[in-house]
Amino acid sequence: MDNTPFEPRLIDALVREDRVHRRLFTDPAIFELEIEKVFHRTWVYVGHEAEIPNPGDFRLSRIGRQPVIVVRDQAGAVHVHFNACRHRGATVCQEERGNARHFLCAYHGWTYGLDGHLAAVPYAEGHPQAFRREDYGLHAVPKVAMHAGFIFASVNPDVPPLAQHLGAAAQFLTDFVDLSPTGRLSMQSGVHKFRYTGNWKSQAENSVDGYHAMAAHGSFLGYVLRERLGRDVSGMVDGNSPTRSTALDGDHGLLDFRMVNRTEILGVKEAELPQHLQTYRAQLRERLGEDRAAEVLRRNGGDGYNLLVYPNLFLIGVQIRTIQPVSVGTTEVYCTPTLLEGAPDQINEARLRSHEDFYGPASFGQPDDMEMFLRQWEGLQCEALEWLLYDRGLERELPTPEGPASQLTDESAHRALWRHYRRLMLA
Amino acid sequence: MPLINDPALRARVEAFLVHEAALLDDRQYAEWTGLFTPDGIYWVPANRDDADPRDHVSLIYDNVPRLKERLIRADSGMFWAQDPPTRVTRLIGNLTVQADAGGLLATSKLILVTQRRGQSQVLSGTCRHELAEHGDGFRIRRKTVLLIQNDEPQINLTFLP
Repeated sequence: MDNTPFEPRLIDALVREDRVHRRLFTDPAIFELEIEKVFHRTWVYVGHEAEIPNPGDFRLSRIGRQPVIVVRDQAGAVHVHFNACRHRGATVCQEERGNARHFLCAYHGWTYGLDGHLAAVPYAEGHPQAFRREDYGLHAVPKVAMHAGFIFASVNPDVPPLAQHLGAAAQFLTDFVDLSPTGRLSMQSGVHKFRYTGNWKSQAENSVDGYHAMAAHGSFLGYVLRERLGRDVSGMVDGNSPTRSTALDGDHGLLDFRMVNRTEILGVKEAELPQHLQTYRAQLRERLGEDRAAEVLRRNGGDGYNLLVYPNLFLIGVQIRTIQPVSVGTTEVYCTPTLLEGAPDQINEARLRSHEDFYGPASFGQPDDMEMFLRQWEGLQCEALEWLLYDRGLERELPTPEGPASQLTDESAHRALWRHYRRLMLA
Repeated sequence: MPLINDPALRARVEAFLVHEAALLDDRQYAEWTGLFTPDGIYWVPANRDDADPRDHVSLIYDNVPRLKERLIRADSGMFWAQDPPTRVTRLIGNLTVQADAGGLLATSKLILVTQRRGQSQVLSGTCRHELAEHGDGFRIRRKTVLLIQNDEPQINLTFLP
């Protein structure tokens, strides 16, 4: 039965170096344990500073299943509060994002400041004399820390420092933001939201899975893109591509495309680039200097890598993606395209169109992935299929400064995720 | 712009919209794509109805070349998100017709029921067809679908709402 309480130590036998047991994708008891041991134990991405640039700006988020408010107070400081009134627990903020001067619990009228303090209690004289408003501010999430504007929070007061958690992933977060001519992103351009039937780990590992591109995205790579570009570019993502699957130090995942330069592959010379691209490149060189600008530009405008910061943050193309586990077989995904503050309008509009091209709910990419998660969910109900294989590249993995790596269609990145999972689940 | 009450014109617009809806229900995408003017746009905003596609992401923002790419994908034999296809019934009504700068603006309400892999879904909203006269019928300059679900998590919109 998949409904019996789960003994955490069993994880030890279910997560091996080259394979993982199907129960991790189908067992509701393991899902409950993941909420506790993963989402309520480590750092969880809850938003980016660019989503709340002004005092009073807020967005709602979740840590596991717990609703939180990420808000910038009048002095500019970022807070992460639990979204629950201290009186009887009703949520005090209903809008997904917006600007507020205070948070009002509409149930009985308790009102909180942006910094979480309890500002007003109707008919306060009814409480016992010992009642003190200062004892009833919104509960703050115990740990909040940022890197390159990415806001992480943890409900575990003893969580290790964020820098230690991020490991080699930190530099990629910095690079993503450094694509902006001002060093700042703009994230006021909407969100693609998805729900699929399947386990959250299907989307997590798919985000750094290079092996599926030629099959799952065959209609795009083999047909649409070939027609659009007038040439076959599958060599960038096939089994002979120089690109890599990397197990980043810190046990995060990377699909690394930095060694292929699409502009070069398409035979475009810098001097022949459209004016707005030349302007943008000049802007970057001015802010970052020649060498650093060249390094950032190797990302080819943001498509140079897929990054997974365990467990719920992904950088793919121009988007910041998050995963929200709902139940063992239901998952939500939010894809937020980022714009580059100060870049020419054509650059930013092209970022939106490129995002819609592959990642929207009617696009040429993401819907096929979600179909695979559904098929995986159905197939993994077969008890005869005990083990999912993650052995590709085990015999051709090589060390790199960022962590062990193998070919793009290998599974070094996946193995990092499972190591991370195992470590948290057994802690 | 004032409403047009010419019953004959209204009937022609209605017949065109019913035909267009039938093409989509029947997955006759090549013929459907042919209903657009060469510079036509098919737009389904994301998150809110008044978003500007130049600075806000859309669920769908297709020009005709991109609509034609959808035909390539549909014929590839690898269009997994439509394997099996989504079955759809659309109902359109509450039609109003106005003159606009480029021809006509037809505004209608849409209720769309989908069925795929044991899961049914109801989507609904407002359609705006900006039309140009073309022979006995019309061509679509711009079709906008304002879904009341445009801020909800989506399962699969590859059937095209």
